Amino acid sequence: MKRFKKILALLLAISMVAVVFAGCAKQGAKTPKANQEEKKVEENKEAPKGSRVFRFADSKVATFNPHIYKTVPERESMLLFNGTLLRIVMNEAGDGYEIFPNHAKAFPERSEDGKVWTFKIREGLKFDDGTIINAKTYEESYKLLLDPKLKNPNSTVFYKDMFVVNAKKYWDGEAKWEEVGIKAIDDYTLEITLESAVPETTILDAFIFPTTSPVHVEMYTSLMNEEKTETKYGTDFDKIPKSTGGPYILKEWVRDQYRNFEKNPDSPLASVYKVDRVEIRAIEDNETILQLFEKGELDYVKLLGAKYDKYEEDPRVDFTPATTAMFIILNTESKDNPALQNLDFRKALHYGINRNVIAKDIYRTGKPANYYLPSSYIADFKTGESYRSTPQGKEVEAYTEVFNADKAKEYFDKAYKANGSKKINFEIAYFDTNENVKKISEYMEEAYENLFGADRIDVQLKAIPWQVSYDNVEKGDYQTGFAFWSGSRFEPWGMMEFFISDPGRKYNTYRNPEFDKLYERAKTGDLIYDKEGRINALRDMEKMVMNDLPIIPLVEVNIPIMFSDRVKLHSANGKYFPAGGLYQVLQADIEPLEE
Amino acid sequence: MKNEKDIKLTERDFEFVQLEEDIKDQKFEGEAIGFFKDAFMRFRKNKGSLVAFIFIAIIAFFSIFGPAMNEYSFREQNPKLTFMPPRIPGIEKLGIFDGSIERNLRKTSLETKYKDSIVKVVREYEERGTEMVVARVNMYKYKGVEDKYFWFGTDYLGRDQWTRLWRGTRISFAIALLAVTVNLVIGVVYGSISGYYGGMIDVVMQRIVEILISIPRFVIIILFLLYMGAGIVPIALSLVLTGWVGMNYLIRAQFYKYKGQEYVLASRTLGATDSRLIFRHILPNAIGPIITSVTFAVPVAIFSESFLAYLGLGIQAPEPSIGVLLAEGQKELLNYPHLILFPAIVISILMISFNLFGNGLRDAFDPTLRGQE
Repeated sequence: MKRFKKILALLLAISMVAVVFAGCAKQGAKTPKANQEEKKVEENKEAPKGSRVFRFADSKVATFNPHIYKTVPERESMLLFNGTLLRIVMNEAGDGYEIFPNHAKAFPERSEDGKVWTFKIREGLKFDDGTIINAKTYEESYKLLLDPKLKNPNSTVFYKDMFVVNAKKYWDGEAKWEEVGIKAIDDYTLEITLESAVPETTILDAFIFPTTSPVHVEMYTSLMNEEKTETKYGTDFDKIPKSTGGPYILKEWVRDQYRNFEKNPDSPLASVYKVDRVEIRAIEDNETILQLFEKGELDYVKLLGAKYDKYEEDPRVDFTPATTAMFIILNTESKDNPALQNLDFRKALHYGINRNVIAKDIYRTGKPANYYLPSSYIADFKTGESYRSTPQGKEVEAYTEVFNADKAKEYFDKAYKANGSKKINFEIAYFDTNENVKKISEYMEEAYENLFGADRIDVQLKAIPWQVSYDNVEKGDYQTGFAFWSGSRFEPWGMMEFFISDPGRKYNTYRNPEFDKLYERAKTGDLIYDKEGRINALRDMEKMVMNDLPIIPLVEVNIPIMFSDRVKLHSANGKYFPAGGLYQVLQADIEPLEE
Repeated sequence: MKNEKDIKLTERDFEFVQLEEDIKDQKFEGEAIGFFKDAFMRFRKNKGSLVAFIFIAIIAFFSIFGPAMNEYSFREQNPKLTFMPPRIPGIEKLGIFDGSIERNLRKTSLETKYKDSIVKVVREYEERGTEMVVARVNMYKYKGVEDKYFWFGTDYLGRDQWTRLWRGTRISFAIALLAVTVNLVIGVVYGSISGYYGGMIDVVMQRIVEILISIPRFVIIILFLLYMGAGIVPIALSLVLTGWVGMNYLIRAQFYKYKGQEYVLASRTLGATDSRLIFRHILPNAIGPIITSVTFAVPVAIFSESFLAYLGLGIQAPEPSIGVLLAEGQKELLNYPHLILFPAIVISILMISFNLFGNGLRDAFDPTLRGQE
């Protein structure tokens, strides 16, 4: 009997281990599957070996229609095969970026009052099927972008980011196209007339992204439904021009598997970009991507969270500065928790959180942020100087501290008294699908209760889906909400829209007429051509926010990345800097794949 | 013929064999064996189930007392000591669970940053002109906390995994037991009524059940959780939504089997009420299958909870559950396998043990197997 027992115990143990390995296999299983994909790619490759190919993994894409796309992976892929009027590239010295006039001959001329901008368009541009691209193509593309029936979501570029004459009215169906301020004067001149003057950065920002790239009008309209309210343009490999005068040509696109691009010798960018072929594989699991990188099948990888630990000392690791800051929104009008209406309590929360722990111990590679705008935002687009490195930016940084327990306790004592010396119930809503938000919420709960005393503050965590969280914040039915806000790096002023009294959709409770006025001045008023004045305005706006604390900034995350040995970056120090997305890499020397 | 007449029996011919003693029935040798006693006896003979039961008991023991076995609490954080590998006193001398982990380091750091904490150098290699080594680093020495022992390591906030694992097991158990109990009550009542009354009532009630089960189970569960928010009770209730259907079928079948039998008719003739017939006379027949199916339902509930945790619908932080721990561990599988190892072992033992245990119970309660061994 004893023997039988032993055998059974052993059996149990074996099956246990088997299950553990089955667990592992689930993870590993993705790799062989990815391998199959890779094999398939290789079969499809025209010049798989010996070519200067840059391979990386990115999320899946839903559409390549420039008028409706939403995600960053869509944008990055579209920038490869779509031509834009302007483009950001690394400068020759390799220590900064410069504006490359792509389809435009030069940066557009601005009229005296800043309301009329004229693009001169290059000659000889064409789609992959030979159709000519000229100013007329652009005008018709923009007409489709603003089409009142299609209601393209990306059309806001012409009536929200800048106010093109009658663009909103046309979109609403209240004006004729002839009245809209977008005109092809002749075949190679495009004129854009605005209702109010804008700074150069707004123009730059609008014309470097795929939204404003030309579309193949004939194909676009032929793919519309009968009511002309929708088009299938961009939804499938057969329903998209393989190049709209972009630097690359879309060669293969298998949805949710891969998308491959080959260099377009006719593009004005052909002399700038050195990579011959780009292969993007649709993989969303970070672990898998890292495995493929280690096997030499990918040339680029991000090391997120604890994955960095193993590579901490690896000489291949490089950093890309953050474009997103993480902050927590506080409802200053909260009815559930009246303490939040008290500035002392918000200050206690602000000083009472050790951002160094969040940045170094939880995020590994973060930077504590006691300010709103992350480091990659640029104050002067001509020199590329970061706003955070300007004296004004530093002033805000020194304005408060990243952590001060004594100050926090002092403020909390005041807030506690103001609350009638009753326990404060503070609720942190986190997204259950976001790892980092969860980690930080758990840390905050523990940190606040330890610092202020669990008898005086009760921090509750509440898991909700992020969509619900944003809905609640918009409705004003919340105590806290996490947010990652990001905008155009060249236009940090645009980020301040978040705090104006009426931005359309309001995700906080901050209302300050003084702030609104300053925002107005910096965006469309007297400051737009006053460089220093504009930066000062940015500083003042940031300070106003830090005075009232409708949000508590937490951390900005520098993402560690690695390139494979084949990639020889051309920058001055051999390091990576994000000139225009990942596209500095296209200017790198890439060793041909071994035969 | 003559002979017959010759035989005459008189009173004297007879003799009392025993006049002093009372005549009694022969006494049974041994004791009477009731239903449960018989089941228990047969269960004891099934060694597999017995071992499984012991495993369950051990895990239950740890889930109650485990969290109190060391000085850490399940939510106490040590942000400087995140992702510490397991270190168990005694066993560490064998070279396993000694708090060390493989790292890729620059050769120059061996003598500086990691000076005293290197256990051994595994191999050397070169990366972009820099000499590198793969070395096992004792993280406890490296972080200067040699006096600390995290038996199962720590997680992303430096919380003790031992404490979290057993607390998580406790919560998973709680969810499973809650869900199974509610399933049992609803299923038994619903199935009894449906099976006992039959006819139109049965038809209507079973069609309702069919509508319920025709909706994909996890779709309702996920929608329910999105609406209710996470927590022990919402998760348990979400498993109840359609979970009682199986019990309903089982009970209904039992009622169809027994309700027409003579003893029921006899009782009814004597004026027994419906509820007395249901609960006193028919339902007890189903006690064996009920216990068995409850035993099988527990691991299913634990597994469903883990599945939901994987989808991000787990229990509210900072509370752990086995599913939450697995989901967290899976994210760091290759770098820090210890995070997934221990919860995986516990859930695997639980699954196998409950199934073996359930098998044993089923055989034990099966009347057709009675007296075969």
